[in-house]
Amino acid sequence: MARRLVELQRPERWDNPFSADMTAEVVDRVVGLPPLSDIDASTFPASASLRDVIRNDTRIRRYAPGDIVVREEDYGNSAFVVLKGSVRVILRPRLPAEMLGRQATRRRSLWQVIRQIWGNPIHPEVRDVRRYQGDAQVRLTKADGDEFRLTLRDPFSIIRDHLTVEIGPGEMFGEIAAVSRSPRTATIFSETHSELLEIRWQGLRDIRRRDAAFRNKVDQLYREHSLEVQFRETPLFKNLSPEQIGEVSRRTQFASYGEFDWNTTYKAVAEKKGIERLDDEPVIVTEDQVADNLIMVRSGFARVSERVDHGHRTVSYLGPGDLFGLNEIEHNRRNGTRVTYQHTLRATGSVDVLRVPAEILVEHVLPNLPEDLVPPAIVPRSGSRSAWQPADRAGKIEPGMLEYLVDNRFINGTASMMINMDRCTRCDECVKACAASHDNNPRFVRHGPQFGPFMVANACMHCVDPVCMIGCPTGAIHRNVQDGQVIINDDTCIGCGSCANSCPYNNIRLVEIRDGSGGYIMDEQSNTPLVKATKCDLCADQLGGPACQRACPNDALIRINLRDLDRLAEWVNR
Amino acid sequence: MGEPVKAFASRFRRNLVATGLLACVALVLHAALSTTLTNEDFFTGWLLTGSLGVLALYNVRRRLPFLPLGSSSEWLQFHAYVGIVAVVLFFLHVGFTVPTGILDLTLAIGFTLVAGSGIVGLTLARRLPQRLARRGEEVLYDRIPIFRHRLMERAEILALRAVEETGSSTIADNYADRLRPFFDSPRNFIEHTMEVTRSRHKLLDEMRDLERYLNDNEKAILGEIADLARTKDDLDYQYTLQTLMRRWQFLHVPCTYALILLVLLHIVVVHAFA
Repeated sequence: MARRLVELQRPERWDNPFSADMTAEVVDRVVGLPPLSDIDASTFPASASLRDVIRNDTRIRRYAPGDIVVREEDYGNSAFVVLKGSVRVILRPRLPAEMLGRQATRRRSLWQVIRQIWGNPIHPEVRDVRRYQGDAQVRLTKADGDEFRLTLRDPFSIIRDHLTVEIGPGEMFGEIAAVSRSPRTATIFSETHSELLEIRWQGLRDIRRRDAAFRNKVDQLYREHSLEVQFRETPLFKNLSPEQIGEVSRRTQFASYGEFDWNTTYKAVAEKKGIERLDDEPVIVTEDQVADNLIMVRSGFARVSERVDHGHRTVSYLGPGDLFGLNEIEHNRRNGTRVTYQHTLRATGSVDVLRVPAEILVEHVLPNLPEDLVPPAIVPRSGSRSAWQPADRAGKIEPGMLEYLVDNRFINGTASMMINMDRCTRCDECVKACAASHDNNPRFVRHGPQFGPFMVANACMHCVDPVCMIGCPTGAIHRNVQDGQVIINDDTCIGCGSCANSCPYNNIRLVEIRDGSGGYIMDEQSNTPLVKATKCDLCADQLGGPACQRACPNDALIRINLRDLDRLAEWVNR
Repeated sequence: MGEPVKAFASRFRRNLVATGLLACVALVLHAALSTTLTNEDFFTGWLLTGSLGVLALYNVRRRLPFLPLGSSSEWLQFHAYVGIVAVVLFFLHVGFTVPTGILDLTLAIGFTLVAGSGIVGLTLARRLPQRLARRGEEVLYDRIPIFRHRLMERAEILALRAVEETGSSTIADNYADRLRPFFDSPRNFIEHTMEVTRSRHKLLDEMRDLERYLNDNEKAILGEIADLARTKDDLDYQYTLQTLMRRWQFLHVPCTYALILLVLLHIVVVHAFA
């Protein structure tokens, strides 16, 4: 039977503009205002002009006094330009978690823990509706369309009691967090009725690429505010003087690789076979290049592989803060040689790296390195390895497992639930313990993809790069500042599903909530049950840590940071 | 979460040595007491009672997962090795003979049932997961009936399609007589437990024998039904092994509670007639 062919136009980048409201008149107005009027439009190609970028990658947002625009610690993927009115940056003291729509994690008392024996509700997903009556200092408001936002009840007292800075028309904020996919460093709220232009990261990337002045400004800001701090916090550079840190910072180059929205594409890539899969990953450095830069991963993940015949074998992976090439640079310094990198480094998803020139390391860092930080000696090799020649980590974790973890982006997890199915008796004690610790509602499914006997179960992994947090309109999903878990504040979750849709691992679920009698709690307007996003919170409020791990009688289940390869190797080879 | 991961072998050696030492201490004390005028049966009896109490505590720990009482695996290790010491104490207490008297004999049988089911359970827990991981698709226990029903529906649709498309009832008759009961409920529990595949092969051989009466279209349909039958057999395998791993406790735990009651009765009787 002949198949009917369906013809479609190839999807284009701007098929789905950021907003449908960016008409030609609005674009005209916006490009005429600073700082966009300062951008040299002639550097943009005709196929993607500055006006195209503004039309498709920006939107106008209006805020009332007290509306929170961005929250400290939120992951943002856009920057803002003030068009009208003014906003305020809160420098210090920080606003308490509750005022940002978050939940201050409080461990239960021993009595509260014991009370769970008889106090857990018999119906699923029971909530006390009194909790949703609103907070004294912050309220949920509906803005343009159906968008929810948090509004400070008394912004003037915030200005009075906090050190704040005003940002007025023509000024931009949030660009560093947006281009580096890092948490926002301050909370910003609207002081007056204000009009802001929000530029999503794709537009920012284009502007940064085309406009040297803009790029230099962002890089300069990053150097001033973040880079020197990052160097000071890296053990390798800890012993340098402020002047030396300054010089290292000045000579360091930034580079970005891969797609920002890796979470939407990695599954298709993972299905490809062998070298094809790696072909899609941008190369940061190859094992043919002389080791002339230390590579520091700033954000994202990178695959470390080595050439084996006509393919590549994954031997490790790197995440934020990890270094690549130090051993080779030290070898060259000691022996006066110019050996190449011993492995290839590729971007898996979106990766930002810093390239620190080898000369500056040789001049300032390596000669004065404390004994415990001196990199181990290497035996340089050249050419391809044999498939039978063991990899660096052979005997610890097999390459297939490393590739499975990288390809499926499980390396993102700081507390992934791994189950050894060769030891798991399917008793579901973990599920029962989870339910008992969460008002009789299990917060994970004991099921998931497997590599050999090792399953990565459908439980929140508390990711290094939590894409679920991008786009939450109320900041209900957030990272716990004390312990780093990604948790959802049930009180401010509006059940929009943004986090559940964004989670690449399908570990967030929307549930219909009920009152104590088991009846659904209904939305007054739509008369449909209210929904809330739920997921594993690592038992943040329980004494003793994750109940699932403690409840497993067979040592089959572990919550593990998959960046800790040594611990993973210990567990796998137990 | 960040605690060191101990190797199973070293933990096993450490626990075995500790258990051996404890058992030796019990034996030496028993021997020492038997040379004096003290009644050593009271000593072993109370120790055994204490051990049973400690062993029963594990079930309490399981039911209170939110309390910070240590990990369940550590408790299970403790439970298993205290269980071994309890067996030694039991033999010392009964003097390595079969007790006489209804109460004592019932107690001995109860203890044997509890200890035996515990050993069986531990063996199942260590053996079956590996078998389970190597055959059939991993399915959550509670969802097995749903999967089974889906397979039956798909097989039924194929059987009806064979009649509609070919006008022949060979496949449909075979489905009605042999396959429907097979798809309808879990089968071959004992065979799956023993890792025997005789019934599976017999069923598939019967289907293959039918091929001589079928045209190409029907053969293709029969092939699809055979694939479903294999999947169903694998699902039964999963069901059997998961059932075994869950249900052995239904013997162990109630017997433990009954044993505790009998022990209390035994203590009262012993002291009443001492």
